[in-house]
Amino acid sequence: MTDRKTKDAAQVYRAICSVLDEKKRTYEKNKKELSVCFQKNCDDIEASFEMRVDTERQLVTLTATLPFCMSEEKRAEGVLATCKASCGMTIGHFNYDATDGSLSFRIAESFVDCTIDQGVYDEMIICASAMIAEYGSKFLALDKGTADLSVFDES
Amino acid sequence: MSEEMKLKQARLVYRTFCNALDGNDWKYRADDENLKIECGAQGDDLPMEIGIHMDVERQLLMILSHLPFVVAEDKRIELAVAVNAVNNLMVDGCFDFDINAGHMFFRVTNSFLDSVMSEDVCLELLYKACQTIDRYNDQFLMISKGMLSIEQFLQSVNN
Repeated sequence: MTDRKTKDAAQVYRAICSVLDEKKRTYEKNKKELSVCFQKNCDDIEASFEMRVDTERQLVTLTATLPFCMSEEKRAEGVLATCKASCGMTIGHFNYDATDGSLSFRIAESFVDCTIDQGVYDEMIICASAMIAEYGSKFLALDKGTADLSVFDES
Repeated sequence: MSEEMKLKQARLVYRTFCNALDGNDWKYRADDENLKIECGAQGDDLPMEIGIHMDVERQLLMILSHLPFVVAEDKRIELAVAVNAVNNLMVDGCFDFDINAGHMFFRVTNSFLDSVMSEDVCLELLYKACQTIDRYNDQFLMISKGMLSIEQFLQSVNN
């Protein structure tokens, strides 16, 4: 791993922490892993956010995990719901683990030899929050049986 | 950011992308007015058409590739399972599957909001897109045609 990559990754990590500090957000830092974790309420859905800087790939990933898993009898529908929710998105997509029903939203930003404004990292958080807010309740309703897959066809 | 600044920024990133392609002898069709680039690549099995677009309003560089087949209706659930499994493994970018119509796409985006994009990042995103599409497009087609079972696919992906 080059010094340049390490230096750039460290700079990106500091920028992410600055964004969170400016927003007065409480978060946990892992300087060794270049990651931060925090909770965020997205329209009554409390999601767990992790932002991680990948030094080797020169990539920032944000993963926002929903606080519930699809129940066993709804796991198959969860696959279709995830496809429907993600299709047509501009930024990011939902990840779904069909083995345990866990759901998360993920966005990535490459910074290879770039100068990325820290506003981009704030926008990543805003975007993920909006998607969790929009689709979290739909996944929950599907799981509870109060909605069917057609709710994911609505824009 | 003013609309004028957004457009200026988008044009700069568009020019950076074109320069990156020129520097690597990529053949492409450029739409300077709409800030769109179309290029292609021949993968191991299937040809790939790649569309690159600067979204002025959102300040996003978008790479989108439409896979060259439509999934038959009776194979759409299996493809949804396959796409889901692959997306879970990827670090950047994703496959989108329109279950209603049977169309598949690969998508990767990068924000250039108030940022300076390099030619290297343009090429990195493009090469990553091509590698990922080439890795899976033939398998998706084979599942669609019933030549590869979803069980076999999941086994190969998870190993």
